[in-house]
Amino acid sequence: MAAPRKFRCAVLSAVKHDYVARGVASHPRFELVVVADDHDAPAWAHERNQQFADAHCIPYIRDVDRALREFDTQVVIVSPEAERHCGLSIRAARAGKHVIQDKPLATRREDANALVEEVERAGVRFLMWNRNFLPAVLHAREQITTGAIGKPYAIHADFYFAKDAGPTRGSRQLGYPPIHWEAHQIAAHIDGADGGLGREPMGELGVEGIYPLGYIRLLTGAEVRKVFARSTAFFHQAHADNGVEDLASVTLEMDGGLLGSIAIGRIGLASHPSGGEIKLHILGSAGALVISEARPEVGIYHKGQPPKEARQRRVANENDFLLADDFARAIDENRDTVLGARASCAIFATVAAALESCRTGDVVEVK
Amino acid sequence: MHDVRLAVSYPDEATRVGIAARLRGATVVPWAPGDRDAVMLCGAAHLCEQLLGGGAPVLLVADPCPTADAMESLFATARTSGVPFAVVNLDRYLPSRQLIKKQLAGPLGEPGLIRSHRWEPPSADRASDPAALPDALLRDLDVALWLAGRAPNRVYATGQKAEGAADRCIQVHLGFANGGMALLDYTNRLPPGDGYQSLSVIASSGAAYADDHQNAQLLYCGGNAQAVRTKERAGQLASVAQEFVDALRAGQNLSASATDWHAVFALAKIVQKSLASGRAVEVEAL
Repeated sequence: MAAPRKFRCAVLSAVKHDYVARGVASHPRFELVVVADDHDAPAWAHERNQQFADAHCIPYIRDVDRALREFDTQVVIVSPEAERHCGLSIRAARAGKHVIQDKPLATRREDANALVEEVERAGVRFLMWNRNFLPAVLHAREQITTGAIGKPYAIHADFYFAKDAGPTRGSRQLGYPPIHWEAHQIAAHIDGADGGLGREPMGELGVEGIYPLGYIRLLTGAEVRKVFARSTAFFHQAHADNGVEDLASVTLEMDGGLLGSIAIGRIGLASHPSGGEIKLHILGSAGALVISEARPEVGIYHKGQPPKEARQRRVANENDFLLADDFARAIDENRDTVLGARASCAIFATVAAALESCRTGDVVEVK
Repeated sequence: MHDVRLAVSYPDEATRVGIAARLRGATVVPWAPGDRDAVMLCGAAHLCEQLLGGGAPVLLVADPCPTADAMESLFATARTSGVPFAVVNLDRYLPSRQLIKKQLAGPLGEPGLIRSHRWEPPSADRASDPAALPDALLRDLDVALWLAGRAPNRVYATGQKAEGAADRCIQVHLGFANGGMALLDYTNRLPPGDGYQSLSVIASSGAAYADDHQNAQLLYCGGNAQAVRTKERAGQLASVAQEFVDALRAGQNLSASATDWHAVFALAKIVQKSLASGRAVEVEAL
């Protein structure tokens, strides 16, 4: 039996989530060969990229186009600041590379549309990194596909990250300036508290909405048609100062009368002992499912335990491997990935409609 | 003050005995006219009018919930006759809900997102008025208002209802002026058997999660493992009775329940308006 084809990967910026590139590299069919970024990227970005390259014993070059030309790569992994996501992904697709991209898909609708067009024109595969292959999500999918609960008619996702994001709301003293979003996110990277890295402030719906909406899409296959949403900067001064939400709820009305909702937030470290409550509630014509996304898990408690250490540890989590595996098979079989460009764009549109609903107070159609 | 002689109307003798065993400052007496200081009615709302007319303080457990008109009439009778009268939502007295309410006044801080799911098997509930909201959803609206401590300023509701059928799935989304929000999910389309409830409250300084999922035990008897809920309703009625007795003994005004139920029914009307129109509705006051 012939050994499966291996893919050489260029990492186009690793400033936000280096776990995406590390996750891809955990699969034996993928090999990281170069890190690259544009020469005019900020100094802090070059520093992070260099650190990542050094850690993986691969070169870092400050020339994206050269990296795309000269390293015989088939795949790129894109994780810069959010507003550069689409630009780098589009350049990679134009160069005929398959693309794995960090969230969010884009910060503007026109960028998202351009990315979909370019990916489809170039005939390359695209994967938005996601959590759809977590064991509990796969279990939910299995229950649904085997008909355990009949035909789903409602689905609800809670997606709370129990993380802090700097000073609490209301803590800014008179005379002090508002928190600068990008500077705050850069500084917060050291302990993983950076939520939406980029020049433009982004709330939890825009940054993390891809995850619960990805679950709903995976489990129902339905398009969202209308939304009603509420949001607030409830916890963190950085969000309040920059006019973006850290807590939100969205009612979803989908194809075929399917109802749904998401509740999402970056709700503070103190709000959960193990990183946050993430749950799915699914109703079907013959039953219902209540799924805890964290399971299976093991409780670990000990003296001197750091406050930020999860008390419940996830186990049997093969999400990274399975995402990479799905991507490799999508290339092999010339099919779409578990969360391709068009599906990611639909999720982007749902988030955009939800944010509009938050602004207007009205029900908004997803376009 | 002498013990309050409390007559309890409840179809289940064991429950009445359980209440009697737990009460302080009161004695549960047989259901007989004249030999009682106050009455606790568990669902028997049709007895209320006569009792109030007769001058006995009455506590009505709203399970099932009287209609808005019936409840308004009872409160009017109580006001006219000057008799203490309260209507309680038993769900507020679930130990988990009591704990969350107390914690919101303490370490949890201000509620930001209240999320509830209540799934039930079909019942004959409200079959005579299919347009009315299900009882259980009214009680959930009451709990949401109680926990939020304020009226919403924006309401959107959507749902599914099969033509001519009693089964329903309703989703209510509330927005509050402080930025807070609530999402209430109700369905009575579960297969016959256990229902499901969960309530989470994301608050400014922490969060509370009360969920049947976390309170399920495992039962192995062949095939897949089964989840069996640990019930939390044992002392609920006694808590309701105790609060009523304490209020009577302290001479407290019980009119808050009239205000609360007025708000619940006003909100229910807005929910129905949103369901019918498919639009979000602005709320000026309840």
